[in-house]
Amino acid sequence: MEITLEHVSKYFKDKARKGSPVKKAVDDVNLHLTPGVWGLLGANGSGKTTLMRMVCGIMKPTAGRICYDGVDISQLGDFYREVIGYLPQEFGFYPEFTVQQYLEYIAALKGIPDTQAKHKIDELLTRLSLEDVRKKKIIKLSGGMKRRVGIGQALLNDPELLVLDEPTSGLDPGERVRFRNLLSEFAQDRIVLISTHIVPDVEYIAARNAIMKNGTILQTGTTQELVSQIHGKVFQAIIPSQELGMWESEVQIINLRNEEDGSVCLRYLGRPSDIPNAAPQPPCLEDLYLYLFPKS
Amino acid sequence: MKRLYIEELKRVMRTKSILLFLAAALVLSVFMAYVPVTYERFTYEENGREITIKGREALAIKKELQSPNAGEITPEKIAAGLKSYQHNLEIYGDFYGDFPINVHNSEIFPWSAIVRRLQEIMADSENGLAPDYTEITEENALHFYERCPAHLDDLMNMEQKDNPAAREIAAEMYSKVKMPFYYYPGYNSNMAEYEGMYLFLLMFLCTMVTSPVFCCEYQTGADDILRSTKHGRKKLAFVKILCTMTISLITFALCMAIFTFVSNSLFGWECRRTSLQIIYSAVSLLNVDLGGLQNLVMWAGLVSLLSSISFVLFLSSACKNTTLSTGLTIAFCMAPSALYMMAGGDFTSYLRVLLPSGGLGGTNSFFYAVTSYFEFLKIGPATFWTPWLLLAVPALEIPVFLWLTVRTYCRRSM
Repeated sequence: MEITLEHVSKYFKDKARKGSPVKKAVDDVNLHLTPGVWGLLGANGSGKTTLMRMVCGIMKPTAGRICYDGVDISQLGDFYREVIGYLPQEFGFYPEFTVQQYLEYIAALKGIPDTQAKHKIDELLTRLSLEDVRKKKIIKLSGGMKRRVGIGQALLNDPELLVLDEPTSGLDPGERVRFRNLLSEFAQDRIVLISTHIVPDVEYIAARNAIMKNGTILQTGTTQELVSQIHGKVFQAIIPSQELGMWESEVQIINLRNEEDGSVCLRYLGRPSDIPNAAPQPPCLEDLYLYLFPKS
Repeated sequence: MKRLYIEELKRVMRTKSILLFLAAALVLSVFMAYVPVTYERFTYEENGREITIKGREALAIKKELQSPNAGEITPEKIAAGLKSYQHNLEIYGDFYGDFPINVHNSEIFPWSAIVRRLQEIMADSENGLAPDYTEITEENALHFYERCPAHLDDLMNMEQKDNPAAREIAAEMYSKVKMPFYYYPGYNSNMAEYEGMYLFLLMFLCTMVTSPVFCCEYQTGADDILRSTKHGRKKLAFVKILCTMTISLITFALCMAIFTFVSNSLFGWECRRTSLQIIYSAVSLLNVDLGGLQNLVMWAGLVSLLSSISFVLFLSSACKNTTLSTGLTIAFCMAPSALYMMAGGDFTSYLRVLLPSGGLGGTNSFFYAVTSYFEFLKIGPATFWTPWLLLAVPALEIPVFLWLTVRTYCRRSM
C-alpha cells in the first residue's frame, strides 16, 4: 500500500493580495508515503492542513494528482474513504452527542456493521481511557478527552491511511505517551501521517518526516537523515545571566535554563566560536525545526 | 442507508433547539385555532341596556338564530330573506342609527349570509355597484342561480377586459360550481385567515429548524470528519434531506390535525359543508365547500412548506455559517408578504409565484388568491389562474432545490 502525490498544487483566490490574487497554499508537492508513521512538520501557514485535506479527498488539488496504489483517489470515491481515518485540527462535534452516541453515528457513516461497530467502540473506549465518560456529553469533556474522542473516531474503521492534524494538542504528557504507543502499535502495515507542532511527538514515533515551508516540501527523510545536516551547529554554553541580552542578538537560542548559581545554560544554533567554551551537542528534530523556521 | 437515516434522525431529535421549535409549533396549533372564537360577539338589548356576549357563548347563540335557514339555499329561501329585509327596512328606514338590535337579531341576522349574496349578484353590470335591498325584486331572488353566471361575465368583462383567455377560464371553472348552494351557520372568516397565518408560522418554524442543517457543520468543523467517511457525501446529503423532510412532514401532519380538529370542533364540523360561494363571493370560481377549501389551503400550505424547506436546505448547503443562513432564511420567509404589501403589481405577482414561500403569509397567500379576486397571470401566450400556479410552481421547484442542495454540498471545499 502506498500513497503518491505527483506535482500536487492547491491555489486559492486571495482578494486581499494586490497584484497576485492567487495564493499558493501547496505548490508542486511530490511525496511517496509508505507504511509507517510520517511526521509532517512546518510552521503555521506552511500548507500542512491543505495538503492533509487533499490526501483525505476533502479537497481537490488545483493541479497534479494523488494516487492510492497507483489509482487516482478522485476515481476511487467510497472505496478510498473506506480506508482512511481523519482527525482535523479543529475537532467539530455535535454538542448533543455523548461519546458513545457520537462514535455510533460516525460508525454508521463509515459503513461499519452494527455489531462490529459496538465491539470496536468498546475496544477503543478502553484503549483511549474513555470508558468512564462514554455516557457523558462530549461538550462537557476536558480538551484532552475531546481530542481522544477525535482520535477514536478516526480509528473506528481500522484505516489503512490515518491522517492526524495536530492530534496531540491539548493532551497532557501522560496522554501523549499513551497516544504515541497506540500509534506505533497501530502503524504496522499502515500509513499514519501526523502534523504537529510538538516536535518530540514525531521524533519518537515517526519513521520518516516531511518538512513543509511556503507550500513546498523542503526535505524528506528519517529523523537521523534530517538532523545530520545540522550536525556541528548545535552547542551548549554556560554564561553569566547579565550576558544573556547580548548573546540573544548574536545566536539563535533554542533553549535556556537558569542555574542555581545565577548563570544561564544556553542551547543554541550557531558556530563553535560564537560563545567561548561552548560544547557541541547532538542535534535533534526540534533543533532542525528551529533551524529551518527561525521565526517559530 | 436505513441505519444512517435512523442515526441522523436520533441525532436531530436530541437537539434542544429543534425540540423547542417543534414544541412551539404544537402549542401554536391549539392557540391559533382557538383565537378566532374569541372574536365572536353577540349584542342584544335587555331592559333598555345593550348586553354583549363574547366567545363560544356568542357563537352558540348566532348558530341557533341562523339554524332555521341551514341546508340547501333554495330560491324560495332567498326570496323569504329578501322579504324580511325589505319589510323591516320599510318600518325602520335603514339598518343604521335607531334600528332595534333585537329586531336585527331575530329578523335580519338569520338571513344575512344569504341576502348579502343576492345583493352582490345584482350589482350593476357597468360599474359593479350593488343595489339597495329595496331595489331588488322577489323575481330577482327567485332567479338567483340564473343570475350568478351572468354576474361573473359582468365582472370578468370589467376586470379582465383585455384577457379573453382569463374570461374563458373563469366561465369554464364556474360552470363546474355545484348549485344550489348550501349554508351551515357558525363559520367565521377569521378561522380560515388564522389557518393561513398558522401555516405561515409553521413554515417559519420548520425553515428555522432547517437553516442550520448543513452550514452548522461547516461552522464547527464537523464537516471535515463527515466528508472523509464512506457515506459522508451524497448519502449523507440524501439522509439529511430525508430527515428534515420527515420531521417537517410529521410536524405538519400533527399540527394541522390538531389545528383542524380544534378549529372545527369549536365552530362546528357541519360548517365544512357550506358552499364557498355563500361565504366569500357568489361567483367564487372554485367548486368546493368550506371543508374542501380548508383541505386545499392545507395542501397548498404543505407544497409551499416542502418547497420552502428545499430552498432553505439549498441555502444551508451554500452558506458558510448559521448566522448567514438563518438571516437569509428569515428574509426569504418575509419577502413575499413584504413585497406584496409594499409593491404590488404584475412584477410582484410573478415573484410571488416563483418564490417557494409565495403562497404563505398575508394578502399574498393562496387562501386570498382563491377567495378574494379573480387573479390570473400570463406566462408567454398562456394564461393561468394564479392559485393553480401557486400550487404547481413550488411543487416543481422541490426537486430542483433538492438537486442543487446535494450538488452544492458534495462540491463544497473542493
